[in-house]
Amino acid sequence: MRFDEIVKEEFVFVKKNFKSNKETISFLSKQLQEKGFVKESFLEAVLKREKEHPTGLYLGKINVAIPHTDVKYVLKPGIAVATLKEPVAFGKMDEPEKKIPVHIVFLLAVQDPKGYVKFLAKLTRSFGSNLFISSIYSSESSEKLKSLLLEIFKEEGRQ
Amino acid sequence: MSSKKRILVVCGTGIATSTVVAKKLEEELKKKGIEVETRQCKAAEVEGRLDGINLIVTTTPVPDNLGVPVIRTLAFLTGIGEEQVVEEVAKKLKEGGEN
Repeated sequence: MRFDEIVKEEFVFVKKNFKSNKETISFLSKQLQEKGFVKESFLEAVLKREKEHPTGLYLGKINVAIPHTDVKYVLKPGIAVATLKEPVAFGKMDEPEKKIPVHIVFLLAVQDPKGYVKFLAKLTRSFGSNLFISSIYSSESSEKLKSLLLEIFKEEGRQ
Repeated sequence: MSSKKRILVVCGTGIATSTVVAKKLEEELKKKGIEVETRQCKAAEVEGRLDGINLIVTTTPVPDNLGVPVIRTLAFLTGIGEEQVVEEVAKKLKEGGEN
């Protein structure tokens, strides 16, 4: 699976204004659905999972969330990304009762977990870099953000 | 003397997140010369998947008193404190082996 087939500029949105995690997930899910990446039932399944098992990851200053759901709701592997002007509250993955402000949302359309995991491992590995996260968050255009994302997948062999 | 230790990796859906965690755990433990077998499941299924498991590594809360040591961590997703958690996993696996 090629990473540039997963990360597409049309699904990358910068400096968006959303009021809640639900609004953010709904918007991103709609984009994927309209282009035939996920089934109509995907949105509801993601929201349900987010409620039971939230996906907010606390990184410090800028936090991220990786909402996703079962492969059966997905037609093609993909990812939709939004950076938020003002953070929205997500539950914390390891302490679901706690809410954290999230600035970047990566909605994951996981289809073949084995193939997708390489992608996801690289993505999550990049969360450890403050520099990377802040450059993602300060990206002024979808094109810039997409190229930053593709960059991390090029650096083969980097630890 | 004993066979490979088995780690049950748990997340909300038992698919994406746990696969990433399992892969990183295997890699990091291998660097320390520890070979493990990982299995994955969703949080709701943990109680039925404990057979032969030496340690649980989870990203989400699981029930108490499972009779198997549990490490709840996001280190393999965020990179924060990953080294300490690998140490802790290695220690717990060793302790388990002495029983």
